Amino acid sequence: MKTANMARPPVVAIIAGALLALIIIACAAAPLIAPYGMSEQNLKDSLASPSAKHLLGADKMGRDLFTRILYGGRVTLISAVGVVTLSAVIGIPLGLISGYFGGMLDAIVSRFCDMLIAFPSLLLALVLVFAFGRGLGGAVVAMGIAFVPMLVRVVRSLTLVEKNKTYVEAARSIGFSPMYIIFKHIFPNCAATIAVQFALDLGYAILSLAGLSFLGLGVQPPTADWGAMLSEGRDFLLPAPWLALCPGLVIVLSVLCINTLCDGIQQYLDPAQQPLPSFRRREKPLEAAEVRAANLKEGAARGE
Amino acid sequence: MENDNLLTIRNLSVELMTARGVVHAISGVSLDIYRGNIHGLVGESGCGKSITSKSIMRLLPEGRARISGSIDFDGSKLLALSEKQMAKLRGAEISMIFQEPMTSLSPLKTARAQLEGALANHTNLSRAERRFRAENLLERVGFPRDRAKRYPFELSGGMRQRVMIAQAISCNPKLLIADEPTTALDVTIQAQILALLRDLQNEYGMSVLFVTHNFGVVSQICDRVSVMYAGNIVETAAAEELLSNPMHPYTRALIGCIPRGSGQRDRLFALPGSPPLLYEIPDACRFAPRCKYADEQCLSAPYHRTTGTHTVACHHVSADSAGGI
Repeated sequence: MKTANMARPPVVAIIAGALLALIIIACAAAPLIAPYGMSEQNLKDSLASPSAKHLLGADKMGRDLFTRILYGGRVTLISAVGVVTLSAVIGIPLGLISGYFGGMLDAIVSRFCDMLIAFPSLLLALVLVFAFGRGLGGAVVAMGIAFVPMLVRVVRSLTLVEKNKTYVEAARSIGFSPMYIIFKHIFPNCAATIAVQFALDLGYAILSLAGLSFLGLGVQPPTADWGAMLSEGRDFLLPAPWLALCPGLVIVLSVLCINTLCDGIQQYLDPAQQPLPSFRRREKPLEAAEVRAANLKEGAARGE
Repeated sequence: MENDNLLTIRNLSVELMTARGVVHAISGVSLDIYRGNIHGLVGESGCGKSITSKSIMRLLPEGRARISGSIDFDGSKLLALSEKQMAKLRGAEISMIFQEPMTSLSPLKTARAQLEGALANHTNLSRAERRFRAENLLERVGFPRDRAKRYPFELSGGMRQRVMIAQAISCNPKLLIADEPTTALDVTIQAQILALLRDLQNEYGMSVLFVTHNFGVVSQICDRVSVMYAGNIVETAAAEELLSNPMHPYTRALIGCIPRGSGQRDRLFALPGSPPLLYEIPDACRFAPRCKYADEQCLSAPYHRTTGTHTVACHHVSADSAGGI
């Protein structure tokens, strides 16, 4: 297993990164690429199958699906980044401070996070959406808050490791203030791991936002959004399966790309996971048959 | 005499809360550090040297260490200062060099950036002035100029220790605490660092508290020496005096442990046993279990007697019999 892992070049991560970049660029350039306007209706083409005219078919109102996926991606991706940014803005300082100072403050922050984690994040977001109001803004704020506790936990545990290192003590002995140490010493040294967590959360955010839109609490109808489109397509699963399939596939593909890319980055940043250079030629792993033969031989030698 | 003291520690005790109970890490430590003096603090591992130096810096975890006694530094009572006031002193008036040069620099800052950060914290220098000063400091500690923009992982232990030293002296502190600064370095680098520290001490006129377990280092650099055992200071004297005429049995044993390259080759002397765990304060002399002179009077704790400049805590050393047991 290990050998296979070590032998794997970062090709997969590079492909994932390239695909992700392609998706992002396509969405960003939607007005240039898209063959139709975002809400351009053509009732004659209602539920049209994929064809040269409508690359991925058209929905109930005859709106081009390909166009809407491009435009929907902008909404989905930007709001996902918004969710993660919001959670980072709240969660990172909170985690750093509670990890560094410990004591009462840490106990309060940690117990509060435990409380929030006890709810499934989607359920929590549902409750918060009702508090902030339906629509994209409410959904983003709600998801952002729902993501805070996990991030606080990750950052806090990183801080706990980091704050006991000698350089932090040395920084204290130079007379740096706690805030300076937290943000100029500890944070930069945790940043790599936090960045990976950030990217992972991005994947979850896309899924959760799609979930909220699917439930009708996120993006409201005329606006295109992958989750909302998936929800709309559900009504035509039999006559026009591509209506649900296409947005669903794009969601899966983007999340998969983000996660694969994260894995790649993590492996790249973590020296322990990188193959060491070796003078020895790597031996081929034993074939299953060879292993069985060897086991049999050993068994025979023991007189079984 | 009091006026010559930069640092006066009286009756300092530190109790540490651990999972297994309260450890009396140091108890009743009194120490005088004179101005412009290098004061050695010697002892085995775990006898309270680092705890002593960290309590001067107030770097012990507040919740888990109880400190009592008094520490007077240049007219201010360190233990009574607020954390903010203390932070102002750290680095500016008192600074510290650590044992592990490999880990005591922030991994993400270049050598020069580490110094600039320290300068920014305590001075009002402009950016350009800070850079200039940082480069001068690096040059002063023998750090090659062309490597100023290297990161710690690109530097050797000796080079990192030089950066640490430059950082520690960047704001002309009055007291430099060097906590085993040469332990992790090989002998040639060790000699260079010691020479550097001695030069800097002369140049800046600061006092140095030099924590070490190596008498060779003591003889090279220290003016006065205190020997610690199990949380107590057992003997204090001028360095030459202590090395040539050690009075406390523990000091004698420690000096006896130094291998000698010349003369008759005897078996290397080793002091049997290890220091006691300090979960409770013993009534007896703490060294008694390992001391070959121990008898009934060692069942009570010895007090410090002073002859001239030599202070020792042992029942077997009487005031008039200097050196005779």
